[in-house]
Amino acid sequence: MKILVPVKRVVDYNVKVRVKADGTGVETAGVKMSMNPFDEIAVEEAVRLKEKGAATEIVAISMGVAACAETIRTALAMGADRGILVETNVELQPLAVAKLLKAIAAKEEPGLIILGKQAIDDDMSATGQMLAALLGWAQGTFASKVTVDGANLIVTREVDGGLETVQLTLPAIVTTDLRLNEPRYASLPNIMKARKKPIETIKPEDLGVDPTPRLTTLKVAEPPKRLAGVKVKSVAELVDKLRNEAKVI
Amino acid sequence: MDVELSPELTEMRAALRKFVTRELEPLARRMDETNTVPPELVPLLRDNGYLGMRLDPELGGGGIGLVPYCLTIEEFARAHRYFTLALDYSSGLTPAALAKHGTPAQQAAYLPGLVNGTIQASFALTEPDAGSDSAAMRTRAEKIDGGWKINGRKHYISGGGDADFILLLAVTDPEKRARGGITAFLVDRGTPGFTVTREEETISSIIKLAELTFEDCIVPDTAVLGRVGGGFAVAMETLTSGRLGVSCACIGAADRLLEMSVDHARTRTTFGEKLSERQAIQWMLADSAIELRAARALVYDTLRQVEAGNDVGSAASMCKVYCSEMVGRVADRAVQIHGGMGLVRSYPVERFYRDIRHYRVGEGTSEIQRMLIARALFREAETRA
Repeated sequence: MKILVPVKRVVDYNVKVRVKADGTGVETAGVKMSMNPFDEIAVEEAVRLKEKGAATEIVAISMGVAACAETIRTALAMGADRGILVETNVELQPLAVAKLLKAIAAKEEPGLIILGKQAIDDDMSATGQMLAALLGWAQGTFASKVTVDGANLIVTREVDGGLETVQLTLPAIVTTDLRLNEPRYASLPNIMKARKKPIETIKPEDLGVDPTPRLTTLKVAEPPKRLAGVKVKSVAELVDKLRNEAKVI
Repeated sequence: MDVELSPELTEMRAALRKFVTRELEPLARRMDETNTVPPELVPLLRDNGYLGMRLDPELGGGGIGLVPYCLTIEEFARAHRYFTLALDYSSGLTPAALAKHGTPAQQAAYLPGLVNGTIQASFALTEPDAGSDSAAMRTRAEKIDGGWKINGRKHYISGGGDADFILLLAVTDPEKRARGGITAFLVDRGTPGFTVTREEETISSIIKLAELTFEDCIVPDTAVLGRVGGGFAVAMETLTSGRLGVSCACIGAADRLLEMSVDHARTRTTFGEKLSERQAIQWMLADSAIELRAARALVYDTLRQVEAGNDVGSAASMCKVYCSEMVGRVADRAVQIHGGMGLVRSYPVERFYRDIRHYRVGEGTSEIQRMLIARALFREAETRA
């Protein structure tokens, strides 16, 4: 079974995000970028399935600017076999990504596509579900456990009320939750080997997909700054302020 | 802030930083509390491919070149000096000498254990009257029927107390000494006549130095590493990589010390103002940053030359002197900036301050390095004239 793992290049989770001065987005120039942490979990799960003999090949896919190749390299260093970079400078939104992935799936014919449940930059949590709908495949989202059972996949999902276990017929879509696994560290020899693994670069046009955004971002702003507190001299003054200024009691 | 290397090495540094921060840093804190090496360290390093990383893949190693190895030392040194020694025990002097000069039987006997961390090696060169002047060693190996009889004493041997075997240098021909009269031997712990007679505590609380005594210790001919009389060359050939390794350890420690100093200056308030607002503190930080960057530029340039196969002359000595003295100044400023916090055992600045003092002494003192640099200058002048 072949597994596709889409990986997104995002601002590193340790970076304190700053809004661009013109309010069009967040600052990414000179900022440390990494693989979306949920996608790391997806790569790890694919590698574990391959180590267990349930998968034969892992293809890591990234979409966006040329530097996304570095994100693919990280996946290759963790154990993916080859990469596909869909290179474009257009802003990619979940529907466009899902359409591009659908076109790649038609070509690659994978048995399973594992995605992060969401990306930590826009927190959309939409691509996996959209892709399942477009392909007409079964989906197991927010997975905390995945086992292959013949032609089926058993997925334990984290839902509001607790855990739900579903059985999916392959081919299928899985999106990863935080507790699915703990991703491995890429070892230095594997980073070196990853440099020799192939990455194919294609354009959205090659897949017959128009990635033009359907949503327009009007403005990005910092959350309002918390104002400094005041000191009160007595309980009576505190109660007065809470009642008449803050109007909370 | 980095004087960067290549996209591949940048990726390696990011991977290393993540591993060191998440896995090694908590162990370093525990080592500070307990003064012992946690048992999970070796399996952790092995499972992530750090043991024997410099050795050839055919010998079970990771096939990692000198530059990424030095980068690993640098990143490991940001957490604790001991971690750099753990790298050295499995990839450094003794394993490298075995990989280069060992017979297939010797390699089969020792390398797998070194690479999987089940055995430890130690390198025994220094003697009470032969430190910097190592060719003056007195430990004697006499040829007997079928083997060698060793008598003498080695001291200040790091890891010597725990080592499962020793790479020992001894005089086999007193007439020739360094010019073909010194031989390398592999001596197992427990060989009759070989005893660890003392272990000394050092300025680095977790690191001990051992005294090893040999009294009519008999080893077979198969214990000779390389050829008889070739021992001094074995000891000297890894000097360049050893000096560059120490230089990178200094850079890693200085990088961490500067980072801690900047963080402290940004958060600590005195007389209603952050330390970072005070020029006295700013200047100290700026001086440390300048020297650290200069050190990186010097060392990375030298590493690139070594990697390209160029003769770097005395450049490795220059790196070692500059970096070891640089980290001394950076550590001193770090203590000053941290004030009382820089003096207490519960905070790592104090430990770094003690640990880095070693670097001006071990792997050739600053004075020896300067002597070598000056000699190279005169040699060069002679060829010019």
